[in-house]
Amino acid sequence: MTQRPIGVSNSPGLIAGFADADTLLTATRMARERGLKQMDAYAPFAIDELPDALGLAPTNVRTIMFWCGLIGAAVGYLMPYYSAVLGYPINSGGRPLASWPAFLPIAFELAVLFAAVGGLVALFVVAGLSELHHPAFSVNALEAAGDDKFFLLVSSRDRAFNREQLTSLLRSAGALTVEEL
Amino acid sequence: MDMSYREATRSVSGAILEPVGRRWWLSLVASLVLVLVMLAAVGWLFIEGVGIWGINSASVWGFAIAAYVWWIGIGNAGTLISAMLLLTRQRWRASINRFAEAMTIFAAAIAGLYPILHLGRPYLFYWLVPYPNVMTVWPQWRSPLIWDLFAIASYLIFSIMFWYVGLIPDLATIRDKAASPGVRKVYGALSLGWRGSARQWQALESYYWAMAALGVPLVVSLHSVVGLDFAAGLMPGWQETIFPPYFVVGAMYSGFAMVVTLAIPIRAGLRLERLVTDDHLDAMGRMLLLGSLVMSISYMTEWFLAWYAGSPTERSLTAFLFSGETAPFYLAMLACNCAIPQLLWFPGMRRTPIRLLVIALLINVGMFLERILIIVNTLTRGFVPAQWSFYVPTFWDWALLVGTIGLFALLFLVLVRIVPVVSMHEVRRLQREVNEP
Repeated sequence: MTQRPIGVSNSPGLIAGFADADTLLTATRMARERGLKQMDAYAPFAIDELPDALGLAPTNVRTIMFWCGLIGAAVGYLMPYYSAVLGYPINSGGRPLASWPAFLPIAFELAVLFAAVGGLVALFVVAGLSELHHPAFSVNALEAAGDDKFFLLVSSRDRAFNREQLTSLLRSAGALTVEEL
Repeated sequence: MDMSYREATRSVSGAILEPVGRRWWLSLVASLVLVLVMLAAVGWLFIEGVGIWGINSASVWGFAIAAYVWWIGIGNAGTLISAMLLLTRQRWRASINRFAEAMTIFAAAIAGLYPILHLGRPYLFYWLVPYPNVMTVWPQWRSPLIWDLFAIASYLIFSIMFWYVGLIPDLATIRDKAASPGVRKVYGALSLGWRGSARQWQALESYYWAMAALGVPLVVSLHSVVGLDFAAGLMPGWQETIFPPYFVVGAMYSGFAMVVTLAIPIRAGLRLERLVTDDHLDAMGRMLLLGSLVMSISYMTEWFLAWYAGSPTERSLTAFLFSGETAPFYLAMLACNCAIPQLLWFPGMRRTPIRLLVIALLINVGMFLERILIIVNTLTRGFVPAQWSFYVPTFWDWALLVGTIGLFALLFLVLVRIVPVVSMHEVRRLQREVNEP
């Protein structure tokens, strides 16, 4: 099931602060076991286990990169092919016009370039980059997510949300702070 | 390396958010002087033409192409450090990959200038590009020089994207730490609204690792194409199938040497000894040692095959390498690339910054010598003895080379003031494994 966690930080709920990645992961998993789904987590570095703990679906960045790479390879091969075979064929010593080994480096380079650019666009879209006004910015505590603190946000709109139970759960998992959003 | 997440942030962001010292200013002035030299060299080149250089009708390529290969080789190591070490999970790369990738971008950009400058009519450089034109002609697809255009352009754009994406989270950290609203706005715009949410990290990691996987074959293909600039021709000493891999290893070798040359002053200047530790220097020293061994084997392969193939021209050229006018330079090259780096077998040489720096500088010199000798020895001792000649670099050859080194230094000096020179988020991630095993 696809998560859409980006909306969590502008709805009321709880924000719990942690000092390290493992307690964040423990708390996230415990909250998921309770049935909570509308959660988001913030960290100062990438944590490999976090998307699974939150139940995030994989991104499609690499799929897009793959297809863009194929398109780039096609462009990089067909362009010299067209020019050497159809557009401006030059008979140089009876050598084959479609000299495909010579076209391969260009095809490869353009494949990599197209994959890189396509992936960048996909990354910007998926990560919501260049959204300079996001509700998360108004949550002052989250600034420490760029430094040394880890946060778990749980939206109160989630059906399984129970403020007292969740607060004690998070504290038992090792949260340093549990505050209202 | 043992520090808290907060200490990792502080020690790196300090270089941007705190005022700068006298050493930086002095270095900046020195590099600006060299950039002026470069501008003069380029300006005079455009006015007078390539005759101001030492090239002649035999040695049509001289310092320009040697410097091109040298700079692009330096650039390649940044990607290899970022990409190859990432894929092989060598976590120690986290302290050096940011400025190694920046080194790639600057070196590749400088390298890209030379193919334009070395043209007799540099204003026609755009003929390399397949654009619709009134002459209805296309580029020569079967030439490695055209493959170079695509390879270098792709590489430069790729490197910028790769580097920038890895930088976004750190720019966001600076945005959050900045005191003045102006600085905050600038970094806010540059960090594109990065929040550090799980989804963002997931997407970024997905892209970053995919880019690393693309980057290694890109570097290998790029420098192979540069090697093919020589090897696809017929000249003695050039027409060797070992050239593509030999050039790729040479690139890794000279690039790592440049990373060391940069890392040691940056580490000292920004007081990053806790992040770029003696263990990092040790690891890089070992990479240099490996490079020197592979390069030695490559040279020996060339000498052996020149004899084994039986071609009189190849044999006489190989003899010339050791006995001709350029022999002192050839022997100096062997000393710098093969002999002296053998000192790196000793841990004391690898782990002492000043000694490692000296060896790295000698490797950089040796690799430039190698590039210029490949070009000049073959071109001035080709198939036709009546064409045998000399190549003597002129003042303007040197001025341009030294000037580009100044430009490189300038770009770096400015960089360390505006961008976190060590990847804070990757260091924190590495620290997690130390703190929470």
